[in-house]
Amino acid sequence: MGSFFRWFWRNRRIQVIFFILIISLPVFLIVYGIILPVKNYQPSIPSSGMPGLQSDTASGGHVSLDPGQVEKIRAIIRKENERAYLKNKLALAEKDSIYMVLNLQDSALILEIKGIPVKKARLIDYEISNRFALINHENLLPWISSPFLLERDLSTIPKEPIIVKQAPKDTIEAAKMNTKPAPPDSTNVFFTLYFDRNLELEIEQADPPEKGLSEKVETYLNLKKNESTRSVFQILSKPRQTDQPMKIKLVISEIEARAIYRAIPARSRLILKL
Amino acid sequence: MQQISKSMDDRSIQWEVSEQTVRKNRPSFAQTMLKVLVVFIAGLSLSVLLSWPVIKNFNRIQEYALKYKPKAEVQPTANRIGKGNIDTYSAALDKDLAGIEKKLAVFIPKGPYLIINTSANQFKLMDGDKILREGMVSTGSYTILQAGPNKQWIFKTPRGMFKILNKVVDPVWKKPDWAFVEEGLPIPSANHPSRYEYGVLGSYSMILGDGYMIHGTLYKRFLGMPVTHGCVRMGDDDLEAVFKALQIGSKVYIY
Repeated sequence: MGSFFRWFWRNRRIQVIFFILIISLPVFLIVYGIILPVKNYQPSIPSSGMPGLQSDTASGGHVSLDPGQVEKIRAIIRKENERAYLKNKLALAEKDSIYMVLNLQDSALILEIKGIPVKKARLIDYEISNRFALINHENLLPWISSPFLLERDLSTIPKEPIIVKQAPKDTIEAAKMNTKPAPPDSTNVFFTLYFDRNLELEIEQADPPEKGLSEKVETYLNLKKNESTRSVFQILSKPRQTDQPMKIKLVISEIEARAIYRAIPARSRLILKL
Repeated sequence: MQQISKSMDDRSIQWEVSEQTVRKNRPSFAQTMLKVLVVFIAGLSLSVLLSWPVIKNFNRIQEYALKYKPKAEVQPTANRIGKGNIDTYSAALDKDLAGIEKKLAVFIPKGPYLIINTSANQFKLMDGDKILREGMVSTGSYTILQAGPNKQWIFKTPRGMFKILNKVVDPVWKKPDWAFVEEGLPIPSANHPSRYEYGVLGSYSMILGDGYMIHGTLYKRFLGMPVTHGCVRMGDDDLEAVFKALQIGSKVYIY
């Protein structure tokens, strides 16, 4: 061992190679996985399957604006977003199923049935991807102009806490059966909803987990970690940013998170108001 | 001369001895390769170790880096609308918004309606945005009763929007088949007297359809828990208030 260190200490070339080896992977990850993709990032949402809004060539071309007109344009953008939001609400109110409305302006996640809000969960905290701020209104508006469709989900709690009971053969067996109600599910509530058009909504309870994390929560967190690690390799293999999911993370109370998750059907829809 | 040659001989002997010593102490090719391999493995391992925080927080670091990109501008929207059209376009949008809001208002029930939360087993009696009354209920237990390979019932409260189809005072419960199966009793004929139970549904019931009702209960201690076979059970006072507030056709939203 001593001779190894002596050899290493005396050998400058080996030291340089060692140093280069150590920094190679982190530098590669940072440059190729973060700096270059961010530098080359062109904000758009091609996965929407919808073209961006086109300039009206009859009245358009590049126009210069004074501050007052910029404010008016901003107000128009807000109104167009509001119109998209209300049109989506109208479309879903005419259907029969339960749907969600995520209103980030009012910090609320709402469950609605036939146009009536039945549950309004206050957002205790939320985080949205910085990509949203980079995408201009012309590309964002078509993306939010129709409700998102839930494709799959990942959760620590079941949708329906089913208990299977065998019918008793006779009254004696029936009398012996346990009639006490099942204790309420106290599993911590974390779930992720994956919608079409690359939208990902992650919801977690605000209340800190009691008595450490349960097995279900650990499984969920491990699956999320694996997903995150997979996405690293995907980013490295395809440095273009535009295919990355648009993520929104919400923190709401445990009771509301549980109620919302249990209520939404398998192919639920979401209206997004940014 | 003899001395010089002797000293030269001594030096050449020394030289030979030291060269042999050097040759003996020089590491073999295999040893050197092994050391290089150790350096290589150690370097890569440390590299992966140093990269781990980056991999673990990759998305977060990317998000942070995106902050430094310029934010989206309003110019493309302005180009689309045109400078001279801003006010006209804005007015048209206002009109459009008012129209959609009017269409949405049609969905708001005229008069009181009921909202049932099956997850928390709670209800709210509403009139517009105003909460008239709220309290605890019991809803479906999510039990599957299996009575054979092709016979099972699932006890859950359905979700969605319903209407009160009928209101009954002093309702009588007509027991379905599962009520007998659950007790280990044979299933009687459709109109057998044993099918009819009095007093178990409380003073009032409101019928939602498909066998589901809102009614009272003897098991008040279970209010707030999922214990029913699908119906919604309420306490006496709440039931009376809801029964009096809702009419036939009133809406009930269950989630």
